[in-house]
Amino acid sequence: MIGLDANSNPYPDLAESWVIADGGKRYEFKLRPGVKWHDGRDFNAGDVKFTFDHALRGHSRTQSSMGLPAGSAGSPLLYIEAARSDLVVFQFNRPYAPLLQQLNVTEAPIIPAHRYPANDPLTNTAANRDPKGTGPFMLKSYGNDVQFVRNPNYHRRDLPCLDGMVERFFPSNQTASLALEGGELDWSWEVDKSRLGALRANRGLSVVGVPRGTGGGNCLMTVGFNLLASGDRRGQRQTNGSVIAGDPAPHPHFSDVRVRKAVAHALNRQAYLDQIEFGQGRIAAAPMHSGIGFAHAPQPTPPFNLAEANRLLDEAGRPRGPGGIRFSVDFWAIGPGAQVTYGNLLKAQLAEVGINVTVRSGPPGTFGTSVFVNRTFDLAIVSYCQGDDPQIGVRRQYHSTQYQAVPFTNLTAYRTSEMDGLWDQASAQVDPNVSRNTYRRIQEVAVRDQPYLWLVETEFIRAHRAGCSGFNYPNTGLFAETAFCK
Amino acid sequence: MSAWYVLRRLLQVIPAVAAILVVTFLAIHLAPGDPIAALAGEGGDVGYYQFMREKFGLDRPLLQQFLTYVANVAQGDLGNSYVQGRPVMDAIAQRLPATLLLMGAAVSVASIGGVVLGALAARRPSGPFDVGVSTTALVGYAVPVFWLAQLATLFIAFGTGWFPIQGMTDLRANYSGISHVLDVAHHLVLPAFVLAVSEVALVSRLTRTGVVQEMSSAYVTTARANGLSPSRVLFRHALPNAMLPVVTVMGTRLGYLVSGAILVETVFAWPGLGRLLLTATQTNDHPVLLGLVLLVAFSVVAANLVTDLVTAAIDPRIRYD
Repeated sequence: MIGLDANSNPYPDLAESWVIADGGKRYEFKLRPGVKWHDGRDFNAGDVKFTFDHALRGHSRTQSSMGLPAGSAGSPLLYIEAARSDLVVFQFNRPYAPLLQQLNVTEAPIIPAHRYPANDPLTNTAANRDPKGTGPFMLKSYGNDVQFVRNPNYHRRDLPCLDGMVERFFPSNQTASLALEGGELDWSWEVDKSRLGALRANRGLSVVGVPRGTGGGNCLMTVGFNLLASGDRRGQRQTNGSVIAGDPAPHPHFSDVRVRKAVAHALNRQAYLDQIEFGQGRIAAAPMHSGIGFAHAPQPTPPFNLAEANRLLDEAGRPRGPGGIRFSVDFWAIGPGAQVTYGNLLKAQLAEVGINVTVRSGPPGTFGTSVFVNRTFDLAIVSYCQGDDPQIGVRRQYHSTQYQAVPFTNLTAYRTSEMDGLWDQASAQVDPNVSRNTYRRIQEVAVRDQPYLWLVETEFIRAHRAGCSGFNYPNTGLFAETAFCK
Repeated sequence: MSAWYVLRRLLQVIPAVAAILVVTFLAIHLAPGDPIAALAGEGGDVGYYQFMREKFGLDRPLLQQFLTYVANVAQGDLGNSYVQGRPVMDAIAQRLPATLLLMGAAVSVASIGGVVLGALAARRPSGPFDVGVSTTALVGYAVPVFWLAQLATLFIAFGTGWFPIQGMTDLRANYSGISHVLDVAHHLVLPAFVLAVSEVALVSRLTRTGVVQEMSSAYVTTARANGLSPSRVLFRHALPNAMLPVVTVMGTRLGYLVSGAILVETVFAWPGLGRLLLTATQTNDHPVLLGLVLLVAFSVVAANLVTDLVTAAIDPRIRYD
């Protein structure tokens, strides 16, 4: 519907213009005429309504902020109306700020209603295995490789430039990087960072750092403290909507903010950036990614200071015992991979202040179950990828309603009425000049309470043959629209 | 070897397969990890998670899930992949040829190369060639296959440019016919070589030991006394008799080959079952995992059966009742 430029500013895409009325309660989108689906049918307002009503209700970032389906209890969205074939209206019951940032191709890819006559996009495997879009490339085949061909009816005339693309999946970044260097590939989505020097020295290649991206591309490597006793799930919302009854027990160590501050002081965040990310990215200066320019407000995060960490732990009543150990905790990471390396470095750093860490890891399913569902952890690391508005991807970390048995929601079980109120207030502040003050306050409270430690803003590294150019890297959904190769 | 023996061996497969079904089903379903969490990732809300759990029957008791699964397997239905949304049989059928090609090539190289090297080494025990083969075999058997694969991609494929670094086909070319066959063969050389190295080492050592032992037998002395050439004595008489342990061991190596293939396919981006297994493990795709484990288990059982039959066929001293 809406494109987002490198600075997250909206520009027309499938919606050629829009009007924001009633103080931000009503959004009217005029759709671009003449847009065709890949099967030749006309794109229209009914497709937009269908997508939100039947598909995006399953998307946590959209669902958690917009409250789909429309009209449900607590939802700010009253209804979506296809007023004409080329006019779609979003009507909210209160001003709703982040809508434009939720309508780009990554957050809200519109799907064709006519392909799902039974309104079943989540279950219609036949249609889902033969997807039709309106984008610059059409799926040709999906086997060991994925083949795309140019869409001759693309609504942006003379685009795309490429006749087609073949996509191959590499389980090893090292192999992909070598294949790129060896001339077997034209382009690579991610590279082996340990080979960055060789890649950059190769004159036949262009290596591009992408510090942020639209549509969930602002990623923060974040350590979360379990504020509740390990394994205690009372108060947690379940997938069927019920909430486990009872008051949970606080975590024996991390419920004390002095211990959390001590851990923050004990971590040398520069080491993570240098040793694991090979210098790609930056030390995180705030809970909100610097890619969300209007909201990001650098905060005085506790600096690396072992003496202060030890003092705080002593003050909190955690003296060193036999072997110099104050207490032991479990740290969880998705692994194998870089997050486990983060865990190993954290283990070494916390050993300096007498905290004994056991690093545990597993594939995403195991991690999600152990950490977010069963909550059998003390510390965990998550790469929280944020959208172009804090409501899209940051809210889920801090709002009490997001303490759910669902992966990548509120990891720490942090719940305060103060924080909830600030998030709800910011959601209704349509003017970013106003909401930025609320978001600043949210970040101050997050630093004060320190339920999380934000370590590094990771940077994606894309690389391509020097003979190719025109990639739109920040736009993760349409990165190849203007690309071409000699 | 009687028909009754073959039938009896086939019947023995049934309890083995039943045990494999129970153990693998329980191991996979009781292991930590929620397939729905892995499938939906951060993209699902609570309602969607519940919907997916019901869709795949994961909200039902484990015993009920197991009985349904067994009934489906008995009808040749391995279920649908959670992740790919298509029958497991289709997913396996798509990847099987690549793995068969890779493993077949590796086994061929291991069988021929290992036997030839072992036999030649046995001609002069403790001679320079024997010492060279034995030392190389020791190293080849000890080197982890994933490390060898990485060295091969780095120094042979990337370093010399003689072989492709990745994949089964050239991404840019759209070959057909003989050009396609040659393209696949070119991509096959290095991964097959890497997968074969430890097997070549094993086979050469077994062959060498067996041949040295046979060469000290009375019938070899008789053959030599009758004026047979050394090559004829070696290849016509000693070698066939030394093959029995080689055939037996090769038949039991299928499981090891599969585990090696997972690593080799990962490093070389070879689109086979190994990579499918890796992905299924990472995503807790239980039906695919179960299907692959069953396939490998069936294959190991079948390989052992075939080994027994071949052993009986090549050694007339072995009789089964």
